[in-house]
Amino acid sequence: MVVFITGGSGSGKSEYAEQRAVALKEKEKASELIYIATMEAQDAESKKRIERHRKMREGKGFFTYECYTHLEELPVNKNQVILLDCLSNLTANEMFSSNGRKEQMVSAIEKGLTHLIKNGKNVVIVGNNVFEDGIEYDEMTKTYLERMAKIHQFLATQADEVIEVICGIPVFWKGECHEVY
Amino acid sequence: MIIVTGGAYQGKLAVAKSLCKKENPVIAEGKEASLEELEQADIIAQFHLYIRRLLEKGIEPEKQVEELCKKNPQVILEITQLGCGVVPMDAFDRNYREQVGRISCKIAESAEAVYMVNCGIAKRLK
Repeated sequence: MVVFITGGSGSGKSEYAEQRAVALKEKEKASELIYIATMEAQDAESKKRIERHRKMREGKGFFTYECYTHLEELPVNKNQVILLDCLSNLTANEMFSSNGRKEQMVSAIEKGLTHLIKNGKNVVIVGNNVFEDGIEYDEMTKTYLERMAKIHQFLATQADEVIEVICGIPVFWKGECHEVY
Repeated sequence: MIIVTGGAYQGKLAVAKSLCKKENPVIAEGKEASLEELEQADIIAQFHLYIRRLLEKGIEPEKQVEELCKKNPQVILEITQLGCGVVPMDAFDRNYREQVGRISCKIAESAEAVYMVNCGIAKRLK
């Protein structure tokens, strides 16, 4: 089962993703709940954000892997339910950090996602809807948005469910409850 | 008329092409196509940039768009969602963003179908 969850900032997408991962562990009788954290604690703001997400996960039984780049090298297995939060961080890390794959980052992340889907089996991945503000950004930001959109679309083709969370409400784009016209 | 909307880079044009009954649809670019090209096109890509162009020339876009829709009633309009961000500082940008939103609402009223595209997936809203 591959669930792709997107939504805007503060939409409740991470919380919903956690609920789905926990429910999936029960349903699939998986032995482990893995959380892939993608944000590097660089300043006070990111530390605060990480702390907020840690508190939210507390007591839900997640084991945390830190993964800023090279997702394809992460050891995963079929007895786990894996939650990856989120693609926008991973994309930024692969594009801008010293260990990132820069120009090859789209194929690198697609390879990493394929690795999770193939070897991890039950995967919940969180994206980020940063495409609806209508702002004409500089070239670098445009490239970032375009690449992230490519990864979103790739994942949507691989996923069993694509869900946009709006005000904490899951809106289905693909999968259960979804109408295709 | 059909409207295909959604965020930037979400695959709206591909959806517009798949909705078009013609095998090789004529696509006019909102940014630069002539009025004649727009009136004859099967699909107008980046329609919001046509509205922007009119505003830049000081032309009232609503009437122009209405006129265009009358002359080309079968057209598929691809329009990017611009409204889900912070209010722009610049007055022109503010007006542009609002005009695109208001005009989209207006033409959606008479459109036979309206689609929203996200991650390459189309959802029919109307």
